[in-house]
Parts: sequence; structure tokens; C-alpha cells
Amino acid sequence: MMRSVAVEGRTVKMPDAGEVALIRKVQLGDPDAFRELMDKYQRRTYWIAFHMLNNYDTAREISQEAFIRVFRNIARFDVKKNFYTWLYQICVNLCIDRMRKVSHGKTVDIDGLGGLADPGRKDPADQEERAETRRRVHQLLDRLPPKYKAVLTLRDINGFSCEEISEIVGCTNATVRWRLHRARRLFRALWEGKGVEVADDADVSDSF
Amino acid sequence: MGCEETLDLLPLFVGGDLPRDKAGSLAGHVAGCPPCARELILYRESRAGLLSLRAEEAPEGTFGALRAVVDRELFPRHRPRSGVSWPDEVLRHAAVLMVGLAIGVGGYGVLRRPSPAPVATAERPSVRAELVGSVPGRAVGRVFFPELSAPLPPIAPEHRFYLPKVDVIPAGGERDF
Repeated sequence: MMRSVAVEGRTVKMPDAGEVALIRKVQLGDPDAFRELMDKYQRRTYWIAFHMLNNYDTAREISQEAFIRVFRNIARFDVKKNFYTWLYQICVNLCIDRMRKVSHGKTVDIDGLGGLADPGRKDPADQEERAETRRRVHQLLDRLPPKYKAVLTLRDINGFSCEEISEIVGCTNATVRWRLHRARRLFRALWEGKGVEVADDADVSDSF
Repeated sequence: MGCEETLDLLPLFVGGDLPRDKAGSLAGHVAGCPPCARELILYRESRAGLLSLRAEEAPEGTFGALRAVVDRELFPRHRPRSGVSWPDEVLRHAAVLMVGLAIGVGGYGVLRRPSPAPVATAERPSVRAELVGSVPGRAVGRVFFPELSAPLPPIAPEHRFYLPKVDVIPAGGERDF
């Protein structure tokens, strides 16, 4: 359970005593404490990776790598900071590295998306329509530069606040809002089928 | 707030990322400006597409496999707790040890059991004495004794067969016979 604390006008989630104790156990090498941490965060980590990479297997590999890196470096982790933003930062950085290595077209898991039907909706036509929408969204997201894609998926799909995203991606709140503004405009243009030039341009921090 | 500023802020407004005061004035402008309202609808449609990804489901077994790989990589010799308490573990190991010990002792006993010595007529002095006394040759009747081909050693007095002395002690006191 996280508790929210107002820091310099921002609302930031801080770790509670239970999680701090758990992290301290992991720092002493307790495997069961680490498994407990994994149980708590593995789903979110996996979905962050999946929404950035659009491939089930790659998302699982990235999540595994993120947890392995966390365990191997947890001795250096400051328990006063948020564990989850540190974990997600490692995950996002791994995703961005992977996206830069692999061309966009190769990351689209078209076959895998066929199995994404919502089990609550029985109508096959409706399921197919939803699957088609998701497929299209993934294809459009794959056309965005990694830093825009990271901010857009973290905010709109995974539901993190701009403050949390600034911790995860390691930049200022103003930069996050600038990237978010730019990413939503780009995505909307792609959504409408407009030919837009998507360049990984420099950040501009303004009044956002 | 004018149209230009509204169109510039719509990407943040659509996700609820504008400060309350700016969001309020933007909403006021959009309510009375059909072109800006149309732009807002288009932003909302594209954002709805993004939100549709929230309903995805991972393939079955994804998280079990994820955890198993991390477990194997980080703790190759450590088994996760499976609800078995440590006294049960100790008893289980002790039982295995006892079974192993029993098998070992039993096997050792079987291997160390002395095999029955072959019956050698020549090593039985009383029989030998009888044979020598009655048939001083190589054959006794129709039975051949190859060990009798060599001359036998002399029989030691302590190996000779005597009837044991029998001392009769009468019960109930001495009695003359």
C-alpha cells in the first residue's frame, strides 16, 4: 500500500513501512521477500513492456530482465525512494533500448493480437472489431519515437501521473508534459490517417 | 481564451492534464465554439483507441513462466516454501537417512555371512580313523576317495574317539549300586 504525500505542490506516492521492510529483507538476500515483491509488481511491469514493445514474448523477456537487474542492484537502492518508479524506470529503459535495436515493423505481433478478444463480449463480430482496433493502435504507436511512445503509454494506457512518469523516465515534469502534448498530437494525426513526419526531435520545456 | 490557445491545449485537456483554472476556461470556450468542439471530439476518439489497450489479457501462464525464469536465474538451488514446516523437513530427511542406513547394514550382513565349509572327509579325523582302520586303500566299497591316495598323517591322541566317561550322581543322596 502506497501513501500519497504532497511534495513541492506535487502529489507523490511514497512507500509504506511494510514495503520498506520487505525491500530491506531483499537487500539482505531473502528470496521469499523478493518473490513477494515480484508478485506485487510483475503484472504492471509486464504491461508496461508489452504496450511499448507490442510482443508478448519480448515483453516477458524484458520484465524478467528488469527483475533480475533489480535484484542484482538492490543493495544500492535507497529505501527512502519509490521502489516501483525505480523498477519501471529499468523496464522502460530496457524497452527503449530494444525498440532502438529492432525496427518498428518487426515488433508488431499481428498473430498474437488475434487472441486479445475480451472474454466478457461474446459477439464474434464485436470481438473482431475490438481486436482490429487494438491492432491498429499498436501499429500507430510503433510509428512514434520511443520517448513519446513511453510517455503516451505510461500516461494513457497504464495510468501513471505526470509526476510518476517524470521519475520513471528521469526528466522534469515540464518535459513530460511537453512530450505528452506532442505525442497526443502525433498520435491523433496518425489515427486520422494523415501523413505526418514523425521525428525524434529535441524536447522543449515550456509552460506546460 | 481564444481558438489558437484552445487548440494548443486540447492534447493536454483531453487527458485531464491541465490545471483546473485553465481546464475551466478551455471548457467554457469549447462549449461555445463548434470548430474547437469538433477538434476535441477527434482527440477523444484517438484517445479512446489508446484506452482500448487497457482491456488486453496476457496469454495463459505468462506470469508463472516469468516468475519461474527469474527464480531459476537468481535462486537456482533455493526451493520456494510450499507450506511444509521445518520439523516436517527434518523428519523427512531423518526417515530417508534411516532407510539408507537399514539397507546398508542389511547388505553388509549378507555379504559378511560365512559360507558353509565344504565337507571334506579328510578333515574329519574320526571318520578318517574309521576308514583307515577298516579299509587301508583308495576305495571303500564302490566309492573312490582320491584324498586317501596320499599317506595319512598319524592321528594325534586328542583326536581319537573315545566314549565319554559318565559319572552318575544319584539324586536324593548317595546310594550303593
